[in-house]
Amino acid sequence: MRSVIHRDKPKVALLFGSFNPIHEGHLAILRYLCEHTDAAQVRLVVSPQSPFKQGQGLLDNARDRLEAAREAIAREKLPVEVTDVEFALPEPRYTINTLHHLRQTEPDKDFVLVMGGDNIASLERWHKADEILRDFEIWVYPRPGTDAQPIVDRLNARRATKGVKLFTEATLYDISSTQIREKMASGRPDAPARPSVYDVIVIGGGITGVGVARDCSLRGLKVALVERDDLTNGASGRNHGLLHSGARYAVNDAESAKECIKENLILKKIAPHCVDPCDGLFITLPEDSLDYQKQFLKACRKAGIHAEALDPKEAIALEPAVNPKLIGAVRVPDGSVDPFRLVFANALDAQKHGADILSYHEVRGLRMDGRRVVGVDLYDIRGRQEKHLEAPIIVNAAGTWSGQVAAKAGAHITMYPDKGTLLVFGHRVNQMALNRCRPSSDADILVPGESVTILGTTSQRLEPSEIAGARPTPEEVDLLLSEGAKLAPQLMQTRILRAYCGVRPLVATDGSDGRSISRGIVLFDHEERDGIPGLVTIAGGKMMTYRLMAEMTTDLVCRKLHWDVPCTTAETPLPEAIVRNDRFGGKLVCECENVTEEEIRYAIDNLGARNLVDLRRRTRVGMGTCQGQLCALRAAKMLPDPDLRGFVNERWKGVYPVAWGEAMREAQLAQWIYKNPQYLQEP
Amino acid sequence: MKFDAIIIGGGHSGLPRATELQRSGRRCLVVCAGESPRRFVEPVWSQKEARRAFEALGGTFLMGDSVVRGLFTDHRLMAVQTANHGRTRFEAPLFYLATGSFFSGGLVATHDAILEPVFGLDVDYVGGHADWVSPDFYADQPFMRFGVRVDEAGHPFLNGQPIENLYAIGSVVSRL
Repeated sequence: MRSVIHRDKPKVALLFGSFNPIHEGHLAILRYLCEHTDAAQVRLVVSPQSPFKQGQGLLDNARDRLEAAREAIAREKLPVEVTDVEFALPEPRYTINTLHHLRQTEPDKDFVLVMGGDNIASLERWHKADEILRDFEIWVYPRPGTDAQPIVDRLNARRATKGVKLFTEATLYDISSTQIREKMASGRPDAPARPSVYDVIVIGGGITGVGVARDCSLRGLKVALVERDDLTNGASGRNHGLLHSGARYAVNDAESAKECIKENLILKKIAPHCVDPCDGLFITLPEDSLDYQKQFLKACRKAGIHAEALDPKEAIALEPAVNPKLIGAVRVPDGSVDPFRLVFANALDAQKHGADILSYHEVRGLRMDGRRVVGVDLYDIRGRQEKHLEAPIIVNAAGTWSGQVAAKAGAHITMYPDKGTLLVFGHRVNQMALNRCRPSSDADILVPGESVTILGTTSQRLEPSEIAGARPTPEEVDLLLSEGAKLAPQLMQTRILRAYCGVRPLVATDGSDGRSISRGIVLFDHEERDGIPGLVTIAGGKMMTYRLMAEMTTDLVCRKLHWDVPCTTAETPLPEAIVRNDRFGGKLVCECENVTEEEIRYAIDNLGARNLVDLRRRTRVGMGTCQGQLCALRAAKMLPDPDLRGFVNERWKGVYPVAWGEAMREAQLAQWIYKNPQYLQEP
Repeated sequence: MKFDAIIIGGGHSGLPRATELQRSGRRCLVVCAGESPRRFVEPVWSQKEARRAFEALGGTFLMGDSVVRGLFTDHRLMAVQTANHGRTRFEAPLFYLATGSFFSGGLVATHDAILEPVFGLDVDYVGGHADWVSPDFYADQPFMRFGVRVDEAGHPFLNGQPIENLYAIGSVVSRL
């Protein structure tokens, strides 16, 4: 009899939170609870305590949050009661205390606790979790990025669990994200300020930015990533592509070396499609010291890097391209990594988990509320309109431009932009990455990448104003060649495809030359450092450690948002951001890199490629031995806005410093094809 | 072997000149590096037609051969030898160089210099490789005007001396 009464009690669904402020995601859940469940009543339980110490949220006052929630619910005409019941309860305010209080005051109702699929994992660590599970039904709404089903099953398998139900209907999230997108699309400069739909805004579409966006979205945070150009446009798309084992840093920077080897092993596991585990040799030439090799071997072992000294003859047998004059060699687990694929794989996974990736959106300013950063003022370059986004935390991952972004909030970071120039050779000269076993210098790394070989690099300090116009110079090319030939003499006879340069986003510590500055990870909590809440800067580091940088940043973001979800990026595989040829066998557009029409269509439809430069980054069209001369026209006709002129000039940037030999013949062919015919000269 | 004129290069400068000379009654030899895989964009079909017309007039066309040596006496080119014919001397009172520019191999850019590879003729160019190409693709490109220096009559120079019976024609000629 008692159980019948129990069953007949009307259900009251309770959504707890600080609602700082309430946003579309919350409203979508409330709407779902009202329309698709057997709840007789839905209540929003606003927590009086801001989860942000010293008021990091947008609305510091609990009453303001309560009012904002009431207004939003009235506006949406939802039959939801917004309650301040917790305001009167004594501290500490554990959920179980509120539930007990409600049951005592309203014994005729059956209270149901509603929580997100990302939060359920931590439920067992809550105060008196057993009691909650025993006495109250729990409804779990899915959150992108987490599969709550196994946890729900486990909790239900406990003897004393009342019942945990997972909403599996997809509608919840369709509603949410659709409406967010609609709101975004209609975002006009004069639109009234509306509640933030994002937990985090990441500035910068390089490897660090997409890494942070992925980590945050895997942990269930709603992320927007903004990038003023295309993804990979900065240093992430202009580097060696060396999958460091850490050996290069072992002697001078043990910490970086340890980070590298750890991340090296993780990347091989989570992103095998971006990595070529070809191993590397550190060679000692007659002019180098074998004492350094001893020091090097010792340092590698200390850092946990498997380093094996080889006899010169063994080394030549392993890598016939190596300089035969070598007097020593050490084999290490270096490799190569395709930075473009890695960036797009991270971006794609972030998107799959609900992140909005806004490329070609320039940050014109940071929105401030006093000293607090509360959002970004954007200019949508392609849509030619201003936009505004708000979030309680803004992550500055702008790489070389981090200093400029921080300055918009009044924080000062000194960057030491440092140009490095590299050369691409027309075929894969070496099968293993080759390094000089000596203190780092110019042109002492030779990395095989897919069908080419890349030699680098130089080091030249730039003024911030010089970053945008940085180009490889013929003088740097000459330096690279004369030094690089010592690694593999046949480079002198190998056709050079192009030169390119990137700008290392070094963060200043002490003044000295670019190589002595620590390449360590720098994470600034501007609230602590400068008294500017809401802004976090992640800088320094290197492509190899992007995942760790993202983890550290996201940990800090989560602490600030009181969002207790652990990092999973070290175990969760990255998706492939390209369509492989062999699945289709379609028509080839680019013979050099074997790119089909299907891949190009995929890049246009799914990866946001609009012009030829975008397409190159996503598919390698034009990166191969013809440097776009034969494929650019074919690909151009498939693209909405090809910008052939921009593409040709971008490719030329790399050809002009190496214009001799075969490159000169190609240069002449390019001039004939792309300059003379009138129809190719876009205005 | 003796000819009235020898034309080095069978492209769109060399072949028409050879045909013209042949029509005027001179026995001509054309040496053409031809259809190696490197020359993939050449207008092969129109070249075949032009060759047929030249041969119909009695001209001799060596396809797939190239001049490897010139024999000079007193600023005159006396004879040439080719890759396929060993020591055979092809002699003539009149020679034309029509080997084209960089793309066809009539000019070669090394890291430090621009060379004319058949005879080592004097080449007009400026500066080092940094000066040869403009950073803006659509700007004027100096290298497109490099070529062998010729006097007013069209004779190229070897070590500063014009070769009296050799003419350079087509895109191998300097336009600086």
